[in-house]
Amino acid sequence: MNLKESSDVDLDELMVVRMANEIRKGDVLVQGSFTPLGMVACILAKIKLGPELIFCCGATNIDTKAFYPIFLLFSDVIARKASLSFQSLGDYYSSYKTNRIVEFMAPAQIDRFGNLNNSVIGDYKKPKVRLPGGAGIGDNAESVRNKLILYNCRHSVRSFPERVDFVTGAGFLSGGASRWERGIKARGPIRIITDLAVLGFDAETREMMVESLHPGVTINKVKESTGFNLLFKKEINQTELPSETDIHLVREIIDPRAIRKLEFLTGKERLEFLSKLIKMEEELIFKELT
Amino acid sequence: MKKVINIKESSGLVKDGDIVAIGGTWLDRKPMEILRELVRRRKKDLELVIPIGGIDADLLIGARCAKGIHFSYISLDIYGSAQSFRRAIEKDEVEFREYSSLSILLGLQAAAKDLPCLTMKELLGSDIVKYNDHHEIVSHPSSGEKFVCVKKITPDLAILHAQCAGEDGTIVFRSGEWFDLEMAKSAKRVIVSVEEVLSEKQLEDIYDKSLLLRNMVDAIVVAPLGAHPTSCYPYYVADTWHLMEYSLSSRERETFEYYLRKYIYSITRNEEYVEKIGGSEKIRKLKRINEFGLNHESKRIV
Repeated sequence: MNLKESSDVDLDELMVVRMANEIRKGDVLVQGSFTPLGMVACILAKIKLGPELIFCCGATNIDTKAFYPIFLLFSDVIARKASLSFQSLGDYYSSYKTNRIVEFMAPAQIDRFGNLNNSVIGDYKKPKVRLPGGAGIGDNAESVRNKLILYNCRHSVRSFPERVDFVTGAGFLSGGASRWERGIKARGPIRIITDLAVLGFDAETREMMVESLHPGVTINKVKESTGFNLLFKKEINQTELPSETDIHLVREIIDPRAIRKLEFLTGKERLEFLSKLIKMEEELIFKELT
Repeated sequence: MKKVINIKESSGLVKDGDIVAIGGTWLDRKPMEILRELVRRRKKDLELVIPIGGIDADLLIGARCAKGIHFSYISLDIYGSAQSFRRAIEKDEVEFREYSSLSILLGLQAAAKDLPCLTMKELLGSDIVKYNDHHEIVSHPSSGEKFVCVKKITPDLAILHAQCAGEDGTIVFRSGEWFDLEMAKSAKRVIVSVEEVLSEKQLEDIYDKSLLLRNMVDAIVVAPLGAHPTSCYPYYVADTWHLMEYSLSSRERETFEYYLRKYIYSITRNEEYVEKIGGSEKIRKLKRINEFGLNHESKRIV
């Protein structure tokens, strides 16, 4: 049964359950870099959809079978241990076209037409900020069968500009049919889940469109927080509240120390929370060992 | 096994200006002990090939060992951005070519297959193709279909860290090989550091392994803890505490220099490094956390 009161759910829980609901039987789940919200969503989907869902945790682990509450200190150990086998990235990319991969990605910028930037802020050659780069973002954005689901934990004018400073991964380029005119066959971004709203794209113009607003978020708030004119679906509903079971799974079982909340923090606050998490895990591990 | 060399000899195989591919990915199985030796020996003008990296790229760039880098993603991930890498690009102090994970993989595979390039269907809409001239959009001569053509990357040297070696020089991987196999196949010479050397019987008992044939390997360095502070399954986890320290140190040039002096320049033997990172107590801790992860079955939720 879904919750009736939005005050019973935290924003990160609302987002992560909404992300998990994008996953369907037949998808192949992959998580790469440090994206705890994506990881929690994948585990939740695995619990809900059952054993036939394939998860390749960290891309090089094949068919991760067992899942545990998430940890920072040894996540790679359990991912490898709980997977039937492992592979190289060469192997991974050779089965890339046959699998319907879902890899939740959170690039630094997403623009009006869903183009993705994780490369630079400012001029490419003389950047104001050099970002890490895209890893598989550019590949995922154009791989034929992939389902491109994105998220952003700090919806703002900076993260949602009119035009990205650099297209690391192609969205709908300049809108309309431009993506296909470029020769791209793949479908393009499907959905973006932010801390304010759930967004999609208009079927004709390919402009970003608000599909639902999170509890307490006004149309004005999301407009002010976006660097371009958003489209709004005809009937804007509130984002569906998660069920009590889903919240319990996220909060108590999958991520009891709330590692996912790291993705919402920056600077000193983030560092303090990270240190706290590490301490908590360390105490827990060494208490159990003695 | 004639191929075994020590850590000091390993740096002798690296010449200033070499194109050097570095194995491992994210903060996993990076050949850190060999890289520290390169920094200590003040290697210069290296052209790095690091598809997905973090502290490896950051350390070599920050210590001014590199003139350029081919990459798809460089970050300390949970510990923040790779500050030296970031500063060097922002100040135009290092040349760089940005790829996607697949395109840099194809660059290595092209070299391994002795082809001038390999093609892919992705990146047609990405600016990576516009700014990195190792990519070119081409049309199929008969169908007209568009592809991205990725030029080969031939490293002079691949430096990898694997779990173990057989007595005959076979290299054994026990977790995802990342880009390591492609690096070994494309590079002119290959150095691999390993945690330990095992007998044939011991190797037989490891059921979940993959191999790099011994004829592809030029030199092996036996370096237990050689990936520290990155992880090496199933021996030890990444040293979170050291990575936090690195992340804080690398924020400013001055504190970064201090880090280099403390953990690299002032070290003459590896025992001194181990002592500085926290000694046997720290190693025990990393191994115990690893054990805890390996024996975690009772906590299974699905």
